[in-house]
Amino acid sequence: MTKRVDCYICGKENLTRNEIGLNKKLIGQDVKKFHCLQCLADYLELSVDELEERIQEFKDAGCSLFE
Amino acid sequence: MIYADNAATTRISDSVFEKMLPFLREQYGNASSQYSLGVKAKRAVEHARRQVAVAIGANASEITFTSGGSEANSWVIRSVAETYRGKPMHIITSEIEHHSVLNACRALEQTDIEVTYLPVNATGVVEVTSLKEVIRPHTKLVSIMLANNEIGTVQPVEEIGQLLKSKGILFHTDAVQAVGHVPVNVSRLGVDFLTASAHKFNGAKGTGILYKRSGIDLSPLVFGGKQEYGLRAGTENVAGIVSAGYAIEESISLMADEAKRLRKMVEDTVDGIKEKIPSVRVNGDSIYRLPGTVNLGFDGVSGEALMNLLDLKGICVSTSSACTSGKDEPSHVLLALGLSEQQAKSAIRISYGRYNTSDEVGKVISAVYDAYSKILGTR
Repeated sequence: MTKRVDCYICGKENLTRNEIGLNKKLIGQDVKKFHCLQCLADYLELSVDELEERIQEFKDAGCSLFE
Repeated sequence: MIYADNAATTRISDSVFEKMLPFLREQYGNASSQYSLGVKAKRAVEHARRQVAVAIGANASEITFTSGGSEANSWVIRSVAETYRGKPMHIITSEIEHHSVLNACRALEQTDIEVTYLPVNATGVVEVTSLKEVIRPHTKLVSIMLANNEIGTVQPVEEIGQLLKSKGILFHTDAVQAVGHVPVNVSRLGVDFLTASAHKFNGAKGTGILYKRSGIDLSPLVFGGKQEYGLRAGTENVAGIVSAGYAIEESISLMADEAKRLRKMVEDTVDGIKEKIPSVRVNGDSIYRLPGTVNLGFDGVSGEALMNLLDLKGICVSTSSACTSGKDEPSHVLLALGLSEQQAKSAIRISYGRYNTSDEVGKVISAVYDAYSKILGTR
């Protein structure tokens, strides 16, 4: 069973596989504190659209961290 | 966008692009055709061959065009092995070669050919004394790169060439990262084979260069027509070959000034990052290295994450670790320097080229620091 991961900033529950994958790609594989997409965008001073586009690029590159 | 990954590939030079363009449009002839359009294409190929030969101190007849550096590297290694088929054979290479060399050697190990993978010192230099120690009576080929693609370290190829010449051992150098960036002369280096790739020096992708010393046999790579002296059949990539000729000529004419400029940009980048992040480590040799390439380690931080954050801020650098499945593999080059797996995974490569400007250095320093801080800020 997959371990439940919540956003440590806003508390959003059950982050999606894409959100978890993006945290690993942008913060590191060993990331302990996960952000939801919105909080990650705020933290990195980027837009959610930019992050979603990046998720698509990771998928296109064949990264299996994403769904 | 700031493109700081010129060791991966370079933007084609505007003037080179103009030179190759006619061969994709009005001068589209097959270089093997007998009529004027074909003859003009053939002339262009031979002109490029002379340009390349002059650039590296070779004769035009010693130059063969390929599809790229990897093809040329694999070809040399497999061909030499084929020459000695059925006889005891030993090849020496280094642990930090490009995968086109390493994987060609590994494939040969399946056919009873012995391969020694020489270690390097902590700055990535192959020590000639170590090479001397592993030479055997049946050593037929040594393949040592001129400059490393990940850390930029330049190897003592001239010294190795002198040693091998005295022993009658064939010598190949993968000069893909070096040609067009540092002076390269095949006679001075004492090499029998040298490989290069046009897109690494502001030419087009898809054209490689193989220098083979006159008098040395090479088995054909592709059978068919008589193109490329019958060694690599198939219609020539005329436009790409033309780009290789003009790009190498142009790179050499600019080399002295460019090397000085790029070296200064790298020094300023390293100094600027060190000022903000004192723990940063330079992987590779500080003296014997390519002017525009530097590999930096940020212990405790993922190089892949740094690269991805920089990308989101419009800065292209690279990381040596390969990740497609969520488990990044550390660079074989950085591990060979003696770095731990974690240290190897914490590295990024910044490689400046002709189209980078000095005012980009400050932006790179700030962006690296911001990305580093963001990553650490979540711990």
